[in-house]
Amino acid sequence: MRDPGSTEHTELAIPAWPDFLFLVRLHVGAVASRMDMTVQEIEDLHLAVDELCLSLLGPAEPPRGRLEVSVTWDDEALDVRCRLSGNDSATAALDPIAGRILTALVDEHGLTADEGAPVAWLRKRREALRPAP
Amino acid sequence: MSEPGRRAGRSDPRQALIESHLGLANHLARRFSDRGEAHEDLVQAAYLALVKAADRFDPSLGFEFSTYATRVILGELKHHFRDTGWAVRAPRQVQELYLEVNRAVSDLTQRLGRSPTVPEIADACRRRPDEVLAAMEAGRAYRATSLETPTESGAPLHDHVPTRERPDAVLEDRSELWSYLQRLSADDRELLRLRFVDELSQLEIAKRLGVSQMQVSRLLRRALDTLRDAYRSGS
Repeated sequence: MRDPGSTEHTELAIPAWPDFLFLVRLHVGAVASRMDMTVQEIEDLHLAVDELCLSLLGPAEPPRGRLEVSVTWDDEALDVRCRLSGNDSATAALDPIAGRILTALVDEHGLTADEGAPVAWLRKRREALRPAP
Repeated sequence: MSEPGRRAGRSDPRQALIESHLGLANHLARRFSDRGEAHEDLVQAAYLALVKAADRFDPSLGFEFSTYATRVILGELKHHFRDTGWAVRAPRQVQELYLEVNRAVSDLTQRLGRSPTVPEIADACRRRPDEVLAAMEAGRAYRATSLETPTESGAPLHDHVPTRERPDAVLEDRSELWSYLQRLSADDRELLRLRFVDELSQLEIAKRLGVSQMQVSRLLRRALDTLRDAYRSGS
């Protein structure tokens, strides 16, 4: 069990191919469930992770490179960071619609670069368990 | 398919709001298109949700329309899948687990007054949390039935339903349609009204009538077959 107040971290690397995104969804969903996020929050995260990863993968055929996904969480929030490595031609670009969707689903999101590789990230804060109004 | 904002010549801010977010609706529909349902049906559901969002949006709440619309459209698309059944390709064990988890989600949501957590669902189903997560993921992958259900004639159910994208299926003359509808029982007419005028899902109709979704499916099929036969025979 994680100590209260501490931060935990998991990593997963997959071929940069949309068919493998189910592993990312399972990975993120498993962590979110350990944080006691609700099914609604987890479904939102699944959709958000798809948007995030697909913004990196783009329509490239055949897929190139690997997608490195790290998930960090503490008592308050869960952070997902996706880095596309091994694809020199990759550029990080979030189309406006994907941006709107992420804005609706998570608390923060963005794009950055790490040693020349594009990185997309998101943060979702855990909601307190409370009855719907 | 006709787009909702272009109907009926409504030139108002609502129409502009809808038209400027059709791309969002299309994009969200595509995100669900790997789950076996016809893309056109998903786009239709997303467009309808967009219209609902435009009707209900309250700018005084302080967030952008796109944020609100995304929530409404996603809710509608998820609802669309939850209300539909399974195709034969899903292994029975997976179907059962998925249905068990969905039932638990519904029960717990009602009992707790909020969305349940995975451990709560696992407890209710006497399953492990990873099985619940696997069921959630599996639910994405399998083909839904709904209007794809073959009728006795062999054609899918939706072939019998007039829609905007199949104008040849639309009965133009309302008085003629009325005469055919009169050949149905009052119950069947009510069923068609609930499904195609009020646009309730099969599950919503089932709850309202106190029957199972499968019964609603069968009753709809029978009513549509009767209507089609009457129309073709011109009687």
